[in-house]
Amino acid sequence: MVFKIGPCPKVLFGWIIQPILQETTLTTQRLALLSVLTAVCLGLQLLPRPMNLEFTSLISFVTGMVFGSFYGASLGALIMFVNGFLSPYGFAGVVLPFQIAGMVLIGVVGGLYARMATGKLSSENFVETLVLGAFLTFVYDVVTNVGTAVYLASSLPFHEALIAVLIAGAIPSIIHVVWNSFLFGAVTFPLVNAMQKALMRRWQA
Amino acid sequence: MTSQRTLLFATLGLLVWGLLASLTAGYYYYSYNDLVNKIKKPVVHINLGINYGHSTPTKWFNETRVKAGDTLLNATMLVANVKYTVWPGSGAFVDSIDNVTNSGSYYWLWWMLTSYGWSQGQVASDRYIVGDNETYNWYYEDTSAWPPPSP
Repeated sequence: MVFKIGPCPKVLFGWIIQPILQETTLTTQRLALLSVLTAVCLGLQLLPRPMNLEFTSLISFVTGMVFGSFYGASLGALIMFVNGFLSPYGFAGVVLPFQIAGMVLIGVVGGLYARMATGKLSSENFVETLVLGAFLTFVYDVVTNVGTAVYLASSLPFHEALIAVLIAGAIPSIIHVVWNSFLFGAVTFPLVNAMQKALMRRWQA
Repeated sequence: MTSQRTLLFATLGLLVWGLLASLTAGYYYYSYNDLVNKIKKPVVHINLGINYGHSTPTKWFNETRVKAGDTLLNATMLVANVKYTVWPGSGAFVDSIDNVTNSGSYYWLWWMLTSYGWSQGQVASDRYIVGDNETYNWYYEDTSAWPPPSP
């Protein structure tokens, strides 16, 4: 059964249903997949794990590709917001808005990249997502490092704090970039294809 | 002929590679110089304070003699009874100093005196090599508000 959210009584929108969903073409299948992605992403993000080895960037990017920039960005923002309070590494504090901004960017670029897709899957696609993974992860690290520098700016001039944080964060950043390059390069297209197939399938009642 | 798309992704890849390589070079250059400066002399002297919180005055161990290359944790263990847990990848997490144990939102944090005032330690104390004439302060404080107050 394909249930459109659109036909819900209008009075519900703005109260218990986000108004933006009034215009959406989300089907129950798409909504279910989005919910599963959010739950999996949140579970993986909050799991105790080595620092910088994360799946949130990949899932935000893939969600952006399949559902559009808005959903990719929203998922990324939601996960980082919750992570800011419940992370095994502690409360994010001043860095939280920067983490959210970085992950929103990844979700948005996922949606934009899907628009650039040629429709033909080739080895070039894997290289492209690998490079995008590296670039977006680097940008995310720089953005969050700016957040850390803002925090440190209470005891140091901002530019010195920023240089110190960027240099001190070089090795963790390399680990993060290498990990995400591998993930984006190897997993993005197989995952997007699997999700598209699942969404196209029609179930018999 | 190479397409614009290929060039775009090649440029992005090279940009990330170049910037990361530069930052890594900067990291090793800074780390090397810092270490060389800290192990010039076989013995260094540091000022180490321990503040047990709850408005108690800081107990100072000035001019403490420490072997060059020793970490802040080693130095602290020379003057106090320290219990800690080593977290793989992150370093030693100090659980208690002189039987004052982390509890609730109260934790032991270390601070270093810089030309800009007190600066909170950014790495675990077993990962920071102490330098000659540097001043440190272990502060047992409430971390429920962030950033926590300096000593």
